[in-house]
Amino acid sequence: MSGDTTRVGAPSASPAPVTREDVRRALRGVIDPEVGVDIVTLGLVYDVEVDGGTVTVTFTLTTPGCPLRSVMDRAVSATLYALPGVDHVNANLVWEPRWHPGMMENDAWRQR
Amino acid sequence: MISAAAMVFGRAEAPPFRLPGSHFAAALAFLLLGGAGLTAAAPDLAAGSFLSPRVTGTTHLFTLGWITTSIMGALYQLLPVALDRSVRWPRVARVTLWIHAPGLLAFVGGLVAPRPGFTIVGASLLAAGLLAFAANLGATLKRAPRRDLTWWALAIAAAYLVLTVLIGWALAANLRWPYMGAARVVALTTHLHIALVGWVMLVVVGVAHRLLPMFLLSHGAGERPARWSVGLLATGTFLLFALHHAPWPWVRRLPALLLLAGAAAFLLQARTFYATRRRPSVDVPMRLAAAALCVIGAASVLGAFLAAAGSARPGLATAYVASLVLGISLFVAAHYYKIVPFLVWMHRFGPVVGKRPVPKVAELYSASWARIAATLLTVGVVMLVLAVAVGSAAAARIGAVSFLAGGLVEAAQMALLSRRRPT
Repeated sequence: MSGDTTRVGAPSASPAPVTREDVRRALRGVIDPEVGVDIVTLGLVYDVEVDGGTVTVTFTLTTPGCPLRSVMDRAVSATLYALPGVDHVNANLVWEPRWHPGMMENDAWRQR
Repeated sequence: MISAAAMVFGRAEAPPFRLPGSHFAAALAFLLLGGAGLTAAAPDLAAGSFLSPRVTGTTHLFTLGWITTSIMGALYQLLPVALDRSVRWPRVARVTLWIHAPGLLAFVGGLVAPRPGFTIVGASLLAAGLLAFAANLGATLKRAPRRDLTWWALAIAAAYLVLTVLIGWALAANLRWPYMGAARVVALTTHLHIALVGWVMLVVVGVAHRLLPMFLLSHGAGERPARWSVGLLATGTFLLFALHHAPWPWVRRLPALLLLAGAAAFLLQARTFYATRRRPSVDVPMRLAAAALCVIGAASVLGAFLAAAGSARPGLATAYVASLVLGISLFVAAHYYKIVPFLVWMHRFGPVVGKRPVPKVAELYSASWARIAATLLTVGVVMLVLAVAVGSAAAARIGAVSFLAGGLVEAAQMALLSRRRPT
């Protein structure tokens, strides 16, 4: 599934270009509401690509068919549009490879 | 017509909140009625009078009111996730509750009053509601794109639900127009086990192997014990039904052996999920679920002992049934703290994610009050079962009151959190 959206009324001034690190740092603000841990620490973000003002994020959820998919898709998009310099977001939700707890960062529970 | 969301996400679509929500509200009301029934029936339970109207009525408040109504609501939510198919007939799903719930009230009222006319009308309404639900479940399963362990468990469970209803209606008719004679006790025992094991436990095994890894973060732990459990419980229940009139005692013990092995396999699967969890601490709901699994394990051992002894011991037999029904009830109660807050969060807070700060799911209710509810429920069940086993009416009543108090706290928490909305 792809959440392909474009910011409406994006500012015309050119801020500093966004980086992959900026994107990953911002996505640490997107919390899985059931687990209570952000999606980067959980290992749910598989890939981040930045091409000028266009950001493409490939991510998954802990459970295939999770009813939170539309919510998380919207949370990812809203978070990235809040970054200066981002005017187009592709949020790609994938189910392969299937997520498992071994993909979590080691300090996943420190933030709880 | 397929909605936009369904087209985006495949053919499965989560139901509106009111469908599972109305089932959960009705089930919680039945939990409280069941708790009150336990308090009233405590002396009968302690005396081992498992055929008394109060005990029979209370048992149905738990099995059909609390457990089955909860299963209905949970399945309406789970089927799109687990099987990638929404419920086949949503309108039927909305209507069945309003046939099933009044039917149960009439049935139990008729038993306790006693008014055999009410009982048979109630049993007929119950049967209509449950058969419509089973048909809806079967039609939904038929359209599922894959047939995994959850599919098989639910399909077999649906078949056993139909069998449970048919035998149950025959037993209710026997109260109005007695025709069974001495065969009534055997029919009742068979009905009880097909209901608790063939219907409820198969659903529990089929659903728990999806939910427990999700809540404990123990994905990838393997599901071989769960497969064995479904096979053994399904076969054991069938043999119990087929052989319940067999003249040889050892043949009648074979189903008990299979059911014990099936329960053991399920408990092994659950233990594996807990042991391989990535969550460092177990939260209150999952602790309550663990306590429930211990009670179900104790019930299985007690059942095996009774089957091996082969003699009628009313006190122990009543303790066995009480521990099985209440153990499953605790397991269901534990999952309310996971499922209901999640649904409230998804429907009320999900739409504002990204627009304003939202709480986490577990922050929608007080963990301290949940701990109090879990303690009262667990202490109540353990005390009640032990009191019934040793024949103490006073201790049984104290256990029942503790259980009822725990149920009240949990129901109040669910009512409060269902009103939570973004500020």
